[in-house]
Amino acid sequence: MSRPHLRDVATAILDLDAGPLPAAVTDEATRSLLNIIGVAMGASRGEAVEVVVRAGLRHGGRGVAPVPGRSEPLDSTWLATGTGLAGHLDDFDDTHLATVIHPGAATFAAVLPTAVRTAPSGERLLRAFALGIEAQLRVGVAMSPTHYDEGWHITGTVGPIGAAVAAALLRGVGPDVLASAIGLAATRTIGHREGFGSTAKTFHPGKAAANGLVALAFAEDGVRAPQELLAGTGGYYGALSAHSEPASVVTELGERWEILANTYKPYPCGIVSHPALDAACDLAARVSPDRIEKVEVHSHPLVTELTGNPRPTTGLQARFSTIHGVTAGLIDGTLGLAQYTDERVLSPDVQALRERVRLVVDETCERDAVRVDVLLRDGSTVSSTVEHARGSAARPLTDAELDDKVTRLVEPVLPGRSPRLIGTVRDIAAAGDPTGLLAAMHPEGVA
Amino acid sequence: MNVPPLTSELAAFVAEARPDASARYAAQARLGRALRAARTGSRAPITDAALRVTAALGGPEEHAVLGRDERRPLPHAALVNAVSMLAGAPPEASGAEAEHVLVSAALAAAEHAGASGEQLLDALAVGSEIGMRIVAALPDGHAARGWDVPATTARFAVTGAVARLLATAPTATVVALGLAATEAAGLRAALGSDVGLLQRAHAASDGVEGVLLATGGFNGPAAPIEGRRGFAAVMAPGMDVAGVLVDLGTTWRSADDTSAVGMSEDDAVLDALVHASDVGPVIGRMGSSWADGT
Repeated sequence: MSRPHLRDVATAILDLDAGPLPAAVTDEATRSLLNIIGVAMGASRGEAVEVVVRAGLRHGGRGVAPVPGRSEPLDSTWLATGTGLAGHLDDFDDTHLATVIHPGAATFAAVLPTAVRTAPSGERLLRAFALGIEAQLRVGVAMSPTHYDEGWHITGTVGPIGAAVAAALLRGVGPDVLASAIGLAATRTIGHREGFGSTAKTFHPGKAAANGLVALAFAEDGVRAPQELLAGTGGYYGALSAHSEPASVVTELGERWEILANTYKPYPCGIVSHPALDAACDLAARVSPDRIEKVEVHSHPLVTELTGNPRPTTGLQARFSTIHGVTAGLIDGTLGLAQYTDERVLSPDVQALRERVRLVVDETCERDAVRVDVLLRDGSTVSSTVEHARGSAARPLTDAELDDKVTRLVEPVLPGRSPRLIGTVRDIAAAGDPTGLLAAMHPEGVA
Repeated sequence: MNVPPLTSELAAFVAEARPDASARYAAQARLGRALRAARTGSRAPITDAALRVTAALGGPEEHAVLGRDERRPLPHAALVNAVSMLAGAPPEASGAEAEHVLVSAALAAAEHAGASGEQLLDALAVGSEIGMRIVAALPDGHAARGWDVPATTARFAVTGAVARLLATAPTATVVALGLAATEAAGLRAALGSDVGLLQRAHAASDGVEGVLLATGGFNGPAAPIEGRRGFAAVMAPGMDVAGVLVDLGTTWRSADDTSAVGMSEDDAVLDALVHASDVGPVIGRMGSSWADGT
């Protein structure tokens, strides 16, 4: 089966869905769910979310539920768009490092409106979420690294498929409908890397989720996709990647789990910056900013390629500036949303110090490693070396660290809510329906 | 080699272009062909499916679905009319796919804006010009790679026309064109099926939505089409970016259309539309009785 048909893929997913998830997968799916809900709530008041909410209220249909953290119910596709966008807005979500996919946002954004309508058990919801993530990660693996290297924001090109799969499983569809939903979703990919540092990028997973839902709706209405749409001539893989291995999508399904390699960001910015940010926070405890003459960040080539902006002027641009992150980390000793506001990016102390920071490409440096050298005004040098960044596969966030991250994100939006939210998500597999989860995400009386 | 600022030039063109008589004539011909297609396609099973799917989503019933008595919110009206026109296009109308998508979105936006028939024709001319110039600049490799050209390019034409009709500021039009670029999609493997039709029709609703989000406050990259990781580089390496801009605004390539204007069955509707001070009431009368010819 070197070029599996749509029905082969759909059948394999449904076979996997027929049994319980391994315990480790359940645990990781739970962590992924908690992370993305926390991140989406934390970003729920962002300007781009406001834009989507206003458009959804003006042009959308009957409300299904609000974006997590908000109170205005939106219809399914506007809700998916807003939720997926919020999940990625602060670049604080999750990352599958082998593909650089951020799978949680589009998947959760499709699960949320579908779960409101289908009222699944917590276990059913979590399984659909996990398999939506797994499906898109496997599609991504099948065309990595070529696809991303060609300039695609892979989160938006595999997201519609993951969204369609997750929603389809919640709807309980059969193989023909699932196959066509995947096929329809594959024709509505979204995402060029040119949009990095702008709302366009954050829109990708939101729109991907909406596209997945619409794909499923047409498939449920009877539209059928050609079987060779993914792997055949003129199909998805050929268009999106000069090299791909379509068979790997169904190879060892149920034995090899890509979701187990999902990681959660400790910093709200592009992940290639993270090792340098660990080092900056470490150095802040030892070096006062006014003693710094020069800073050199010796890092993997992708750091310069993806996050090389030396002078960002907005918080969004700063998420793709390792120099900004290192600068703010050296001054503030911590890096959270407060270090990525427009105001902080334009503050005089940050602007002054970042002129002294430069990136140095080190071809031998691993992607999750860095060495930062700080030359002091007295001529001495202080260094910090990171072998594996916090939040990387080798050094994943602990449950306690993840809970702390979610708490910091949720509390400013819904004060006092984080313990209930964390407890509800951690116990989701035992929940009889999603009522408690929905209530925990929204202001009192909204869900 | 310097890459010209294609996207910002196109955005300025959207705001400032003055289509000449031949461009308007061609726009009217396209409008007529699309209306004729909608007359037939409004009864197609895939149009029924699009109506059911959009009905389930709901929304304000503000905009006409040609040949039907249902109404839909702005983006969904664009989608359903595009489905209808594509379903009703005669087999010999190969090449008309993108213009049908453009017309469907422009009609919905014109109805929304209370535009005149003249403004509608100008918007269609502007959209056609952008779409046809981008198509002409594509390298053979774009389609050879698997992309369905009408699906990947129609969003640009739709965005131009809708931005024009909604009097969008050029800065916002750049953002909207950026969304059109990053949403460019559609596969040749889908052609011949309803999926192939839908992937083109979605360009209409996506283009409308992109303008709404851009005017609502989205931001985007400055060079989403011509930039280092933009549409041309990612989906059409070797695209003649500079060629898109040659004589833009002075030479109307989209006017190279000498086919007859009109719908034959009832030229009066087309005539009323293009001479209307507000196209909304005219479009509103194009329901099921119009499609029935009664």
